[in-house]
Amino acid sequence: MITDTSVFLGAWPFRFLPWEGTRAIQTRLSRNKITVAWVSLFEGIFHKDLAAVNQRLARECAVANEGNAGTRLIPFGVINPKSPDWREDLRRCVELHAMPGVRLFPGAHGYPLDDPELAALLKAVADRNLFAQVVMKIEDERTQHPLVKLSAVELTALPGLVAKIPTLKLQILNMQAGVPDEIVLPLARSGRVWFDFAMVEGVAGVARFAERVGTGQLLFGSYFPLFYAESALLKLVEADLPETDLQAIHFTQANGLVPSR
Amino acid sequence: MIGDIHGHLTGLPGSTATERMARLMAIAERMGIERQCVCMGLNFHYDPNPEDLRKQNDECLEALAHHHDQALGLVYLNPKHTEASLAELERCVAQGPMVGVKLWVAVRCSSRLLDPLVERAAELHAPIMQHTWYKTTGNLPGESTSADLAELAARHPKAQFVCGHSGGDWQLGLQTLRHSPNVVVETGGFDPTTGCVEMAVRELGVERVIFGSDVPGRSYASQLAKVRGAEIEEFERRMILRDNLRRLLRPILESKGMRP
Ligand SMILES: [Zn+2]
Repeated sequence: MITDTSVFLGAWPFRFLPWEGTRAIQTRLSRNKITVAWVSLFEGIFHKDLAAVNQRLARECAVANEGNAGTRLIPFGVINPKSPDWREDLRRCVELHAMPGVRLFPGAHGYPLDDPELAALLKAVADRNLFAQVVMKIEDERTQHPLVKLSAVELTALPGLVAKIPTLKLQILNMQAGVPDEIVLPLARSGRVWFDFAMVEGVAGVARFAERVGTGQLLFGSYFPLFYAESALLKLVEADLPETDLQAIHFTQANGLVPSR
Repeated sequence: MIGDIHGHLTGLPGSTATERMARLMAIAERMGIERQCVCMGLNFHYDPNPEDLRKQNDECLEALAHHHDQALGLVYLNPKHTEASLAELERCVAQGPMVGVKLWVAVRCSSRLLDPLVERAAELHAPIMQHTWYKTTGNLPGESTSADLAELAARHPKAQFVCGHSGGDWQLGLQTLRHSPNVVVETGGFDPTTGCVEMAVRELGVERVIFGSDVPGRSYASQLAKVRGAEIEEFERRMILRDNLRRLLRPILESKGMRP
């Protein structure tokens, strides 16, 4: 059993992916023994009408999950705190679509982590008992389309933000291992911030990162279908962690945060 | 039973090449890598002088010493220093155990400065691995693109080239090599972005794609995933992970009396 906390559906604008459509993604996840996937639409990064994006996501997941014994898709709506009425977008995620969490793109949506609207959004997310995912990076700067000039999200303000909202639970997606200890350690020690390792690189790099943050703060996330899911799967083989840690990272911790039933 | 054409000694624990190589080979074994090629020394320089070339190649030779034919070396050269580079080629490949050439970012590889080195490497049946990237953010002054390599390869049809990183931005890089039959692409050193191996196989043919990881800056995991996760046939996976490297190195290994 594996819960993949970082999966996308929909269309990626900059290249064709080898799998087309939700069913193909779901089948490919199943082949990798990924039983549950937390999914958002790529369109959430680029569109302005996020209510429509989230509605589409909910429908895609409902259709895919119906009568299907394959990977269960759990929808994570995309919210942009710079949208004029994000509170209504958030309300619909919870009340109409029963989503357990939301995914945020500070880089692509153009706000720093010390933006007061983000603090308000994360407070609302915590009040509604939702899980938040913050995407730190979308693509290697060196291969981005020339129209896209994004760098990794600056995390300096995050420890303070997490401290100010004591019920907030949050995951950094596409975490960069180069973030210094003075930012990473307070986040990890809060016990309310988790990390994926899709972009944690280097030989046995995940073993080293796990030593820094503790295996209790790691959640399996592949960034499929932009990255081959085999990458995150094999990174755990390369990390050579004890079986109990593996289970916690693969499944138990994620399931504790967002029950799959 | 996997061969990896692209590995280094930087960024590993251990103060000597021997210690670092032992560490790398232990993890390689866990990940199913049977043969590891390495190149360059304990510290990298963009534009190494003759003395530094010798030092880095000495460190690489030291790394190879304890691993028999499971570890193979590529000699690091700088085309700006012709005499010193030719001497290193003689010392490390013709007279020594190394089986190929590594060129990094000292000079763009379309330069005529490469010609004498390429000619001698071809005589020795030593493939030449050239680092290439297409960076949206801008290349280093001496950093080649795969189009530079295509130009070099067309000038030297008898030499065999390996395009490091498949051009980095592989959607661009792979297009530049469609008409370069003496260039194979190496799959390492960029994120495990889906479709990379599929496109390489589609555009170049599976026999022109070989596995490389660029460890230890990269994990074996993320780089193996490109081949393991690609939507290709099982026999194609075997060719990329093992057979193509074996075929590439067969002439030089046989000339040295080594196991191909
Ligand atoms: Zn390299």
